[in-house]
Amino acid sequence: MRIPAARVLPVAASLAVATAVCAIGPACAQTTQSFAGSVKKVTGEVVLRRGADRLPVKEGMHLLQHDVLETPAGASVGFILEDGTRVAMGGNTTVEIERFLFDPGEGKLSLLLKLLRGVMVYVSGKMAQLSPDSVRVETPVGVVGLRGTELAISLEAM
Amino acid sequence: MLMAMLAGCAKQTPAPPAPPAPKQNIFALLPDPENRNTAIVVTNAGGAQEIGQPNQAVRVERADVAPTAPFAIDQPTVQRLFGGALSALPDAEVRFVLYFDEARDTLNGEAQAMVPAILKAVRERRSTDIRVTGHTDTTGTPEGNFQLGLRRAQRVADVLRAEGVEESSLLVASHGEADPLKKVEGRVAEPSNRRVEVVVH
Repeated sequence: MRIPAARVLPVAASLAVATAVCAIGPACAQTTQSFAGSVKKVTGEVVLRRGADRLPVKEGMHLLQHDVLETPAGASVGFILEDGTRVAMGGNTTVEIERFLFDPGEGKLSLLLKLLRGVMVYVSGKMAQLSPDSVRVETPVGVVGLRGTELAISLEAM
Repeated sequence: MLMAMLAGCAKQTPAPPAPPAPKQNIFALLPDPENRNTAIVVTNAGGAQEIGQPNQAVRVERADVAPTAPFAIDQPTVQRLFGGALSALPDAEVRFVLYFDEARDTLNGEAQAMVPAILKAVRERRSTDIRVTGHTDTTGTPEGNFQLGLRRAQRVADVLRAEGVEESSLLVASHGEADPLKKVEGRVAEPSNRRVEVVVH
């Protein structure tokens, strides 16, 4: 096996280079901001609960793991996650992004959505393709396991 | 079967109060927009039910009562139950692939030529989530290739930023040689792996 001489670097030196680049902030791919996805379509006064905060939801907002989205009657919201999963919520609906991990390079894949009440439509993304078992939707009456699907759930108002 | 359930309730004799209708918690499998093979399994303490055909649904009364067998669900019912949510379903993500010359991280003519299409997708979608991931073939070393992939991704991100794409919208990463489009034996040049993938959400 021939390795061009110019590319033979002592391992220690190239690791040192990697670390230095990472320390410079924005230049380092692995420590810049990361988010689960973004909001695409909002109709009505949709609320995002993040920790103790309640934020009005606007198109383009980034979403994080543990975010809870809530719609009042007549409202709706759609969002898309990093792996291409698409979710749409109808009125009187609450969805939590319980768990979102999408790092296919490291084999880290996990998506758990919780539909706490209302109506949700889900279209699966790469995670369901790469690892169907890593994706789940939980509701108060049952858990859904998925395989490359468009799934719709309507929970009757309690 | 769903329609039959509703009609049955309406025929109750008026004197005794009708028992409450079972909770209409409906789980429906809809046709996949990309025609992928689809199936779901709904599980609770009462049991499990698979839906292997699109346009079918199950009803789940309670957490401790097994889901019903699947029944066909028609378009008017789909619209009635899910229309509000369906109207908010976002468009699918769009993926672009830019190829690079061996050991280079600068954009060649062909890669440059793809930039307008990327920008168009970003603007049309008002995207705030653009994933830029750099890749390499297996020539060189794994560590060197992580850096090369990163430089490639940064170059593409720089071009997008120069054209007005917000920094906060860009997720820049490198998979180095670990994620080839085309698997090859040994440490050889493979042009189709020397690439940056741009996914616009």
